[in-house]
Amino acid sequence: MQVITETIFNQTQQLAPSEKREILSRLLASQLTNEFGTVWKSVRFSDKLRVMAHLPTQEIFVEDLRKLLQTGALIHLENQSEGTCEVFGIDRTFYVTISEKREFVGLLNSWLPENSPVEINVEK
Amino acid sequence: LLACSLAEFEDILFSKDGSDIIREPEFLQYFSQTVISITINKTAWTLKIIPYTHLRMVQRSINQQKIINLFIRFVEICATKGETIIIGAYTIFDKSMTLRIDVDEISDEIGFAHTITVFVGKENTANTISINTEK
Repeated sequence: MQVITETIFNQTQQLAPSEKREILSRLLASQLTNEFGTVWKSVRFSDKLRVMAHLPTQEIFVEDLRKLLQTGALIHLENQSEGTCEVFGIDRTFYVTISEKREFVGLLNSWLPENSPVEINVEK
Repeated sequence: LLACSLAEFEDILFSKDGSDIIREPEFLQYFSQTVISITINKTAWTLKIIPYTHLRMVQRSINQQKIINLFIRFVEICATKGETIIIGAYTIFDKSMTLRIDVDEISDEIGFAHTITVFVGKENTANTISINTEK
C-alpha cells in the first residue's frame, strides 16, 4: 500500500491542480480505511484545542496553527506512537506532536513550503 | 499531575493514555534543556536540546554522544558534497534514527557559530516514506 501510494503521489506531480485533487482525495480516503501504514490523515479539532510552542521563536505561529487545526487540516504522520507529524497549512508547514484524544498540540518547528527541510542521508 | 504520588504517577505513565500524557507541558518541565558546544573543523556549533527532545532521548535510550556523532557526520557529509549549511530545517536520516534539526541563527560576529535546535524524528528509516509534492 505504501509503495503504491508513493508511486501515485509522484505521478500526480505531472497533473493539473484539479486533477491532483481528484486523485489525492481518493487516495486519502483509501489510506484512512487501512489501519496499518496510514501515512496521510485529515484532522479537525474543537474549540477545546490547546496549542503550545516548544520554542519561543515558534510562538508567533501558534494562533495560525490553532485556526488551521480547528478548520481541518491534512497531516503527514512521522511517528504514530509519539504523535509527531507535519501539518500542511496554506502557506506554512508545521512540525508538531499531536494528542488527538487530549486535544493537545505541541509546535516543534515550522517552515514556508519553499523552505521545506533539506533531507540528508548519513547512513554508513 | 504535579499533585500525584509517585505510585499514582507511575500508574498514569503506564496507562493507555501514558504516551499522550507525557507530551503535556507540565510533564516536560521534568526534562531540562541542554546546550552542547562542539567544534568541527574550526567551526563552532551550539546544539540546543529542548525538553521535548530530552524526553524522547530518555524514552528511546539515546545518549547525547549519539546525537553529537550523527551531527558531526552530517556536517562532514555536507562539507564533502560542498553543501553549505544555511538557516532552516534539515532532516538527517540514519539507520537507527532520524534526527531533525533547525539551524536557528548564526550567533557570532563573523558568522562561524551556529545555534541548532535538535528534534528527534522517526526511530528508523525502514518504513519512512519520503514524498516530495513540490515541482
